[in-house]
Amino acid sequence: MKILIIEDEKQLAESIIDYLAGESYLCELAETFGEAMDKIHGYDYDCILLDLMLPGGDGLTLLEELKKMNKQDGVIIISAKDTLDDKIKGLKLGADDYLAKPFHLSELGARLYSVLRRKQFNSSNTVTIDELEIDLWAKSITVNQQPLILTKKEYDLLLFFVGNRNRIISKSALAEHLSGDMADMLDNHGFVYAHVKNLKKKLADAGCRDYIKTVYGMGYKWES
Amino acid sequence: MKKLLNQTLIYYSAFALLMLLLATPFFYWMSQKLHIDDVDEAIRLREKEFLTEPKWNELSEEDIEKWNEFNRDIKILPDTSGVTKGKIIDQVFYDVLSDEWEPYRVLYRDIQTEESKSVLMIRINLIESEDLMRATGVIFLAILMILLVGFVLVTRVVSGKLWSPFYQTLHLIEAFDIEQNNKPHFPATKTLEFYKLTQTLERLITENIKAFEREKEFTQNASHELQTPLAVFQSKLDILLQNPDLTKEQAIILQQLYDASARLLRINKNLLLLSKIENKQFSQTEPLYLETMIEEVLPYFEEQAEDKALNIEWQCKEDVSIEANKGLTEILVNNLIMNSIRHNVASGHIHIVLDRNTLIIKNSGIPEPLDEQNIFQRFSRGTRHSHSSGLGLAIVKKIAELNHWQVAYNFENNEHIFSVTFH
Repeated sequence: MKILIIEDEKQLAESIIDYLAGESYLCELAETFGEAMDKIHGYDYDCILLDLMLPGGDGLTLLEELKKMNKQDGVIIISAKDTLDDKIKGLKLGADDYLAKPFHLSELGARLYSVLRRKQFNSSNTVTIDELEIDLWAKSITVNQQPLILTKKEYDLLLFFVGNRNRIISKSALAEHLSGDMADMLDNHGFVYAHVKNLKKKLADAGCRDYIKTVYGMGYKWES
Repeated sequence: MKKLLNQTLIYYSAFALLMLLLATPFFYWMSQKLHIDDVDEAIRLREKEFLTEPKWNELSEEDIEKWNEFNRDIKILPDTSGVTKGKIIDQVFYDVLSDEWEPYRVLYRDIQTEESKSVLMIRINLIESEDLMRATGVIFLAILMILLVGFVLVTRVVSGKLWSPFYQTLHLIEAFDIEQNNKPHFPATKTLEFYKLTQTLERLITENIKAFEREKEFTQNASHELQTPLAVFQSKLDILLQNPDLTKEQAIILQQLYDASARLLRINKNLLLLSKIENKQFSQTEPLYLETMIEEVLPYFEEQAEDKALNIEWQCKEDVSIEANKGLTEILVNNLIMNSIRHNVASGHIHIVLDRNTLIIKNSGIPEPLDEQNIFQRFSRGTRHSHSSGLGLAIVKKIAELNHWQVAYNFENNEHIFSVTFH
């Protein structure tokens, strides 16, 4: 999968590349508006991570350009400008998702995974990990062909793990993912443990292997 | 408080009264003296007139009797030694006609008539001092009245005309609110002092607004600029976490870094939120029902409360329906509930009530009241709490101010009570 990262903050771009490199992602970096323009004209990408404030121009112009060229690249806007207006403008111009800076890399991983899946599979979109099958359209799960009922939170959690396979996810990233804007408010992330425990138990009861490992007591990892 | 012009009026009146009180005896004395001088002069004139008439010494006893009968004030009397002669003196005579004792100025002098040595008496009736006093009093009282009425009228005119720019300016400054950014336009004036006043005020207000804007901008810019390094910081932690060679000790440090980073982000986000509220960036409103809103967020808080074994009681006596920005209202509700959890004691309780346009959140906590003046200020909390950003209640206050809601804090029966009255 080819990913273009348009981001002028080199340190952040490097972190993203580092994080995504573990999976089958091939990352390219454009640090300026001009560089980005050249790249989107010259190549096709599966997904573009787009920062809005770039040296040399506005990221939204790039989005318009992509639309004009009728490109099918998925786009996730990553911006420090966390206003509703920007979000709406970006999504209207054809972006698939909007992620406000700062974000957890695992959150980006999960969103990227979701966008890529959507772009690649149109009608049936099923993730299969050995005995586990997740139908992303129907939001249903089967283990060894037997349906497994999960709560909305557990389902979200499962997808988050699957989107960040073989990488360690911090508890705070999970907490933020599960509680959205509320995450800022919450003092402790004990509830993450409770939800992960429930998910693990349900999967185990259904006869699924134990993919979710606890790491250093501060994070989790889906190993498959 | 007394009005400036009324105070001036009081001083003017007091001065007028004092001057008149001092002037009255002086005036009385002066007019009496003038009168006496005048009378004395007339007496001397009459004396001269009498003496220059050469025939007076030819008067016989009978003539004198006749003379005395027809002359009231110039009489020729037999020589008596009991009177002061040659000098004009005060003397009182009984007036048969008016049945009164009347004051006179009198001159006695010796004259030699045909037959004997006699005394010439010339007298002139003086105004009774009682009358003079009364007249003086009446005149001065009249002057005082005219002055007072004049002062009041002049003050009215002055306040109406001269001072009107001052009062207009005063009203404008009273109405001025820096957060509304309604810079007043002062009236044009030809009075130097008022001109200087409005000029100075205008300069002060302009500078104040500028400083206020700069401060707002600074907070917003600073928070914006911090976003990127914070994003880098957090992403590097995420990368570090992937390191398979992490030891247990390093993992603990990493967790502490995550916590610090979360707190930094929280403070920054809240500062940004505050300046966004101040910059009125949440103008969109919609009808909201607080009962639904609270029920939606409560599950999150129940998970948080479990840790401290808190008992949350929620009661909706009467739903509150408002027209406001959804995001901000949620933040207000969340901040208040989180506040009640964060500052609670183990096995404590929280009581959330919605009733008649008011949201009340009561919670147990430290058994003493908080400083009501300060709790809604930024970074003002008394007990430092590692998780709190110190901005939660400041944000609550700001959101309430924006919507013209009232926030209050009370301490009753060992409970901390926060309430928001909508509308």
